[in-house]
Amino acid sequence: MEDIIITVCYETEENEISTQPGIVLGDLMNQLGGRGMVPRGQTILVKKNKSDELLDLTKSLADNGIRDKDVLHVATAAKAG
Amino acid sequence: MKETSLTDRQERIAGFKQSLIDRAVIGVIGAGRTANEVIKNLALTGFRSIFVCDMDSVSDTNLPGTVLFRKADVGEPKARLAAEGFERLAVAEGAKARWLCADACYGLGEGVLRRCDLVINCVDNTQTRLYISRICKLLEKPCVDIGISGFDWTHMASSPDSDKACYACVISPRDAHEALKRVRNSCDVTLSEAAKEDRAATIITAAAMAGGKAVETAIKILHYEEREDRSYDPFYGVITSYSAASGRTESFRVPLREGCENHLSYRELGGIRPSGLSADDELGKVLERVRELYGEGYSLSLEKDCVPVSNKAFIRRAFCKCCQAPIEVYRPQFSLSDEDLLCEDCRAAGKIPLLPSRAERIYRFSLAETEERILGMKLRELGVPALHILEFVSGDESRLPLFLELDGDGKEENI
Repeated sequence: MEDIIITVCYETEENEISTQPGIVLGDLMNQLGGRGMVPRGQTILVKKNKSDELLDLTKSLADNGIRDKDVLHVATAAKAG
Repeated sequence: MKETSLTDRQERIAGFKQSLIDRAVIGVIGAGRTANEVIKNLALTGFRSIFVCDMDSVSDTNLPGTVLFRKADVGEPKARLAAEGFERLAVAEGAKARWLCADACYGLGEGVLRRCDLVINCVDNTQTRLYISRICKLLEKPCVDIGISGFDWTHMASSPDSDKACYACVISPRDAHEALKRVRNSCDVTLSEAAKEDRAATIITAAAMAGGKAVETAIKILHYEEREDRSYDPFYGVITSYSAASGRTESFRVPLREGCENHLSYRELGGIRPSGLSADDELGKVLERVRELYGEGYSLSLEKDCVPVSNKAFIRRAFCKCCQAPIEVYRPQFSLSDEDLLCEDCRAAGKIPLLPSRAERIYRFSLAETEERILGMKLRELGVPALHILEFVSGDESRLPLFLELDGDGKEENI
């Protein structure tokens, strides 16, 4: 499978990354967490482009319909009370 | 001069029905920063009846973020103070707040939430968020979940319908597993003291925004559930996340997650039956009553298959966390701390519990197989809270589990 380039937006940061469509979205988020692009150890929320549907972290990018040049918007679910 | 209602200004909002607020019962789980804001807003919008559950006492670091607590309250139970604060601020005459000082996962009977019209989940950990979300689905109650982190906040309303997304649909199975481990060491028995010390960065401004949003949603749910008024759409299944860094609020529509185990309701599982029993009844009497009503072969199951996020067991015997000597425990697992699993000699010598525990756990109780000493114990001593809904399972797989409510507890002073 060919690499795709996607943009990951979190808060004020935008990062362009090259990845593979077969990678599980949750694993990709963990990798990006290790590189400081998204937060670690928190519940991650991801949607793509203009859609507001929450993507499934247990599925691959391809199964989530993520393609080349897509833009992912990342947020976190706050858990303190 | 015409007499004006205290809530006149909000009653001018199109379609607003104060009567819905007046007769609603709201469950508030947690009594920390977000819950303080929620309870204040409930009081000032005219709610008359709420229930508050929290396990903690007020500390001095709680004071800057909590409108219902005062300096003199340090050391007192948050749930009681929050309930008193509600009654003090309430604009509705005769407003009443009931309260319970307990861990919602272990000490709150499900029947208490059954008596609420909706639940606002303001707790500080994912395990309890998942647990309350699950119980609300079982009881077909709407649930509003809010959380804060720094200046940021998150909000989600879950529909009472079992075929709609819930809070657990947001959390991946791996994160849910991690959430359980964080509170309780999965290979150990006792509550981790370290977990209790986990304190997040929060500020009152985030709590105020989340608390305002939660009560707005509660009001919308009451209107929407009565007549599906689109202008009061609570946007069930949408999680909203505010980030102060970007100044943006993002909304995510949560699909029903494939394989989410949290969607069947008690109605779909055969319904909840009355029992006339109480948490103060002895286990033996309870099992005899079930045999009398439903026949032979039923066991009480502390851990329900339909509540995968709980972790309930009764510990009969364990081994000392220092010298490994056997010790009698006879207590529910959730009530144990590391020090409880030291033998008398090690405790007297002031030794530190270092080893992982080994223990004999019991999850099921029956007249045929449970020892007399345990049959003579009250349900409460086994870790069953007042007004709980118990599951009885049969050895005969063709018979569905029975769900019996401890409705004999209905006259409890607080709940």
